[in-house]
This record gives sequence, C-alpha cells and structure tokens, in this order.
Amino acid sequence: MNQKIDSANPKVSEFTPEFLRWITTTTFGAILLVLIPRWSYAQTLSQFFILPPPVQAAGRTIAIGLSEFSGHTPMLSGIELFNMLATLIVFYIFGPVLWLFSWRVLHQFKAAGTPITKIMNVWSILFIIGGALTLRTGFNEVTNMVMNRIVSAQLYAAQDVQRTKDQLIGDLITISNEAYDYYILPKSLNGGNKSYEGFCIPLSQENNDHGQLMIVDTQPQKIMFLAISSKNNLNTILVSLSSTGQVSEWKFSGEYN
Amino acid sequence: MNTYWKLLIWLVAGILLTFAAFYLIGGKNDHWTSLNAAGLVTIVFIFILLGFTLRSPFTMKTRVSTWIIAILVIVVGALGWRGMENLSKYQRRTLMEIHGVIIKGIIQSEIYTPFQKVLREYYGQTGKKKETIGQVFQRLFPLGKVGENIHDVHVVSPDSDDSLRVVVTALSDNEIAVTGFHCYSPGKKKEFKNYNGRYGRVQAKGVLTEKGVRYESEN
Repeated sequence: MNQKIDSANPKVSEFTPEFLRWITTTTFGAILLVLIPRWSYAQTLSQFFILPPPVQAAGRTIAIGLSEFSGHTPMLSGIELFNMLATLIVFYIFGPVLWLFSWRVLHQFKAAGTPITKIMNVWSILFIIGGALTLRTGFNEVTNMVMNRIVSAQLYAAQDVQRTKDQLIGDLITISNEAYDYYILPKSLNGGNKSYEGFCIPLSQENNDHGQLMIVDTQPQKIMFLAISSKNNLNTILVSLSSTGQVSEWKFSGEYN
Repeated sequence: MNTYWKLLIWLVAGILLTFAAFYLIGGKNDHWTSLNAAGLVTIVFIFILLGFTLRSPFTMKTRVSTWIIAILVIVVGALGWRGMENLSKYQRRTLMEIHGVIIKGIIQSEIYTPFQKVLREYYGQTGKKKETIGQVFQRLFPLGKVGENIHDVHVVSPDSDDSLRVVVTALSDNEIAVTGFHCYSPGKKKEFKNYNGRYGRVQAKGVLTEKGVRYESEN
C-alpha cells in the first residue's frame, strides 16, 4: 500500500485498504492451509500440533483402543494433553481474538477518517495473522465435518458386514464342533459312529439374529455347512468339516468375499 | 485503556478460561471430557467476543452477516467435533468387540480340541481292558490336574504369561470340567465374576462325559 497515493488520490488505487487486507488474509490463510501441514508432516511434533484438537483426540482414542487390544493399560501423556490444549488455544482463541479485535480497530480508524499510520500497519498485520488462523480453522471445521460424515457412513456399513461375518464364522465353528462330537459318539449315544450321516442342526441354532445355518452336503466322512447372512442373503459362507474334525475349504461370497 | 492492553486482556482471559476448563473438568485419562469442556468454553468465549467486537461503527449488514457466518462455522465445527468423538469411540469399542469374538473362538477351540481328542481315543479303544474318560485325559494331558492351566501346554510352558487360560476345574473317571477365560478381553456382562476373581471378562465352560462335550459360553 502506498500511503501517500492512497490518502492524496484514492482513485489511483482500485481497492480499498480494507479489501486489500481481506485479500492478504485469504492468501495467507491459503498458504497456511496448503504449506504448513505439508511442511509439518515431516516433523512428528509439528504434525501433531498442527492437527485440529478433535482429530488429535480421536487419534489418541484409537491408539488407546489398540493398546487395550494388546492388553496394555493405556496412559495419556501430559505432553499429548497439552498439545491438544495448545492447538485449541492457538486456532480457536488466538486467531479469532486477533482477527476480530484488529478488524474492529481498523474499522474504527476508517470510520473516524484517521490517516494511515504505523499503528494501523501493526493492526493490519495482526488482522492478517488472526484472519489467516481463523480462516484455516473454519476451513478445517467444514472439511472435518464433511469427511467425518463420509468416513462414518462407510465405516459403520463395513463394520456391520464384518460383524455379521465374524458372528457367522463363530456359529459355523460351534456347529462344526457339535457335528464332530456326533461323528465320534457311538449310535447308542445318538452319535454317528464315525459318520456324519444323520447329523441335524439343532432348531435353536438354525436361525438367529446373524443369519441362517444349513447343511448342504452330508457324506460319511465329510459334511458341508452353509451360513447365510440375515441382512443380505447374497453374503454367505460355505465350509467343510473332515473326518478328523478339521474345518476347511472356507468359501465366502457377496460382501464377505 | 490502551487498545493493545484490551487485546492482551481478551487473549489472556481466553487462554485462562480454556486452560481452566481443560484441566479442572475431566480426568487425566478421559481426554474427551477435558477437550469438550474447553471446546464449550471456547464457543461461549467466541460468542462474547463477537458481541463485543461487532458493535458500532460496524453496519448492521456487516454485523448480521458476520454473526450468521460465525454461527454456521461453529455449528458445523461442533457437528464435526462430535462426529470425530463418536467415530473414534466407536472404533475403540469395535476393537474390543473384535478381540472378544476372536478370544471366544479360541477358547471354544481350546476346550473342544483336547476334549474331542480324549473322546476319540476313548471310543477308539479296542482291548478288553478299557480306560475311563478321566484316565484317557490324564494319559494324554499329564499336566492336566485340577487347578492347572492346560491351554497350549504342548506348545508353551505352563508358566507362560499368555492371557488365555483353560483351567481344569473337575476331574473324575466319568467327567472332566474345564473353564476357559481371558485375562482382559471383555465379555457380555460387566458384573460377571470370572474364575480368577476378576470381573466382566470372556469365560466359557466345557464338560466332557461319555455322552460328549457340553460347551457353555458363560460371559
């Protein structure tokens, strides 16, 4: 900005100082959005600091889940907690305060017709810094929300499929164990006497919340079970049980494939 | 008061309020409570800040449009924030659910496999002098005494720190009972008391008699 030209002949500049400040803020905001995350990915600490607080917290929650999975007692370090708080303060307190406050001051100067001075330039710099931080936060918020919606929907759907698949596998293993029991037991104890022929799936186990179980082939030394998902009957699991009690030849179809 | 001082006061107030909310509310191991408290305080702070700064000489049009944009961004941000919390907690829960499913399958296999081996051996006896179920079990699993862990005794040492245990709870000529449990994988009921005195872990019971294996998932 050329102060003399601005104040002496406003027509020389096509844009008002306020508009130029907005443009500068947007540019700096864009630079912050694009460059800083890339630069920071090379440095773990900076990367952690630059991620929005809920993203950091979500990352920690999943890390805690993984620790629990391995049987460890998860502990959150003081540095991790402080990082979350520091990011919150910088982007959600520092940014908006600098931006809104300096905007107000600059607007007051403008309304009072005060000529541009060094003080105003300091407020302009604060406006740009605060605006860039706030803009980055706002952009992050919007993209986070959109991404979150997309990821959540996909994850819940995929998890639902995986859950019923795991439950049906469990059901198949249970029925295979019972079938092998039948295979071993003598006829006098309602067994098959070294044959799977005559084995039936108990009524209580044929249907449940996860799906349906059925026998598709019975031979003396081999039996095959089919499990069909209750949510999508194209999702099936076919399995074979040998005379040694070995469950094998798993065949998955539909979304289980 | 100097404008710079006012700015400094706003900054310090915001930092202190957020800091206090973060550290005073919520436990050390519950970072979401702390973060949510600090987030709520931040929203209130931003609203007060907006009210303070967006006064005259700003035109009504500027004020209204800035308020609308700010509210929209805050609402969108809050939705994204909550979504992130729910999603990460769901993933944490799911991890333990998957663990539970895997462990239940392993316990079932660890109970059925030795029992069916015993049962097969028992009904495969051809001589005149037949061993009882208990005798067959003791011959095949010499370490399988009451109170002993038989999980993978043929692979790892009985002193192994494996989190899965299959303990013999009863042993007679006609009946063998075992209880399989996991040291940390959560079962269905939190109040369920496990064999080792802990609460809410996965546990199943198996009983072997001449009639076969009776398996029951207890938690």
